[in-house]
Amino acid sequence: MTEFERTLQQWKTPQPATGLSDRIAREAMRQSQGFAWREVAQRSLTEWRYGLVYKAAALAACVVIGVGVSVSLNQPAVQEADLDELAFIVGI
Amino acid sequence: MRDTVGDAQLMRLTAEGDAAAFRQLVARHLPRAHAVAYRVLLNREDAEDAVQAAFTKVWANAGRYEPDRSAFSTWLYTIVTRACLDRARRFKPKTQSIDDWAEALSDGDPDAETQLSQRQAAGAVRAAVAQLPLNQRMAVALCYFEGFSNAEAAQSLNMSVKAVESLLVRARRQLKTVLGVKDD
Repeated sequence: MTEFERTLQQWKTPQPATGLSDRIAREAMRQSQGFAWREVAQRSLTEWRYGLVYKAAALAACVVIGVGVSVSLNQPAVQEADLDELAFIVGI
Repeated sequence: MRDTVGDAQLMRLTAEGDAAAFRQLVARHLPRAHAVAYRVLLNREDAEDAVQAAFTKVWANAGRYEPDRSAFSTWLYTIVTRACLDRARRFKPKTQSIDDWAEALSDGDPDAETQLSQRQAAGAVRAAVAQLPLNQRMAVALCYFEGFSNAEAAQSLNMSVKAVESLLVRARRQLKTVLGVKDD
């Protein structure tokens, strides 16, 4: 350590007042937090383990919906389309 | 248990509204943040107000912190130095109260002469630092007193490393002159 640094180190700062840490945290937490949703959304995209239960549930729901939609599309139409009526509607 | 948890993890929890994680962060960083603010603003009351403002911003903007871009301490001291700057510009700095002196000297050597000598030396350094312009004082507080590297200080002060080096050179020259320290 140089003489300059030794000289500066002679100036000690007082310790924070007792209980200041709790007071500061309490006061700060009165403010509402913003953008937390963004952090959570970003985290859910970048970390595959984050919210794994919800991701698995969402995936299962997608599978069920997908299977349901594909089954319903493969069913034959209940009624044959009336071509004359369709032609009348579109004005042919 | 949370003593072993890193700042980035505590910030993630804080961003999700975890009060215990935030309290842990405040307790961990308060002494150093307070020391920086005290050395810039030169009295306890202003330092406490600046640190309060800084941690309030940390809580409110926890979701904006990006651990990949900077260390938490760098981000924190960006906020702390801005809070100090804001405080110094908006309010006339108060003079140092007698309580600050008493506290600073309370755990010193019981010998009266040594105490007097320490008090004079500390007072001389404080007076010399007080003469520095605010931006030089912030660079000195971070680099010379708190051991930040020039690069870390540059990031916290939102300026180039060259600019920080320039501030430190000028501050060092003035402090040496005022304190009567020879070149080493």
